[in-house]
Amino acid sequence: MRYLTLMVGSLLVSGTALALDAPQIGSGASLTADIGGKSDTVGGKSYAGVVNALGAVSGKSVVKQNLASIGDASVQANAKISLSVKDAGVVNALGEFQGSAVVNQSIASVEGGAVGANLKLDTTIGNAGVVNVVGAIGGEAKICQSIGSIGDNCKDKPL
Amino acid sequence: MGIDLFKTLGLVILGVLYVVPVLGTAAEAPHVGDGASIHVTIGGSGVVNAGAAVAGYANSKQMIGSLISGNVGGNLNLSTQIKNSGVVNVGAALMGSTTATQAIDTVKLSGTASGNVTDQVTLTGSGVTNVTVGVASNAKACQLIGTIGLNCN
Repeated sequence: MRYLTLMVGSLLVSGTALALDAPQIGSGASLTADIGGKSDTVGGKSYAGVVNALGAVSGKSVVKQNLASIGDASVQANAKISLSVKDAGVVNALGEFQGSAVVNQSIASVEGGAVGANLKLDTTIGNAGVVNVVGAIGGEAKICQSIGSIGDNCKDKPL
Repeated sequence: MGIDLFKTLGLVILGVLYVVPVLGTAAEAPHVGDGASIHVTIGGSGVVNAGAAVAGYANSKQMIGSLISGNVGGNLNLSTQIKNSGVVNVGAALMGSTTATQAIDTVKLSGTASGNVTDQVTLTGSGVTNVTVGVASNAKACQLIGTIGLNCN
């Protein structure tokens, strides 16, 4: 009964996954992300940071941070991605002991899929820090950072 | 016997069902239409990509304003401005190996653009650094700025 329950549950999950297609986006798509800086609605400044971090002792770890990016999607013409980082920190980090680690940070990028004509990627990084870092002991580490780029920077071997 | 067979079949089916969605969602190199424009401005701040490994392998890859892979079906406009800031890519290894790859405003060998490519890099009061350090290790550092058709293989 235990196995039957597990199987049925997995069938539902896998069936759902199979039914999901890559997103189809029409013309004139716009992705805008403003991190930190002056807020028009509040009238003040925000120094908030965006942090994605993980500490692992053993095994395989993947830490991935995507900001204003297009993954595996079909997007029609005139897509625009704008990212502005002001007075804030964007950090993707991992500490790893004995294992393998992939730390991938992608900002205002197109990693896959199909995008129509007139794609516009605008990235502005002001008085802020954008950091992607990993430390590994007794293992393998791949550290990938792409900003305002087309393609997958983290696809190649190793890892 | 019947229960064992049921367990075995169940696990096999589970394995197949878990593998298929993973294969089905694998991302391919992007296809982008004519007139693509990438503009990056970095001012007064630091952009850092760093990795360190002890008794292991560290591969640090930093791409800014670049066509890494995929196809652009027409004109491609790349421009990057870096002002009063530092852009740093570091790989370090002790008793292992390390590779550091840094590309800014670059069209790599695996990417194609069928139209005109304009490529402009402006550095003002800033530093762009790509460093790899190996102690008792193999080390490789590769820096590409405003290039077309080069890679680090």
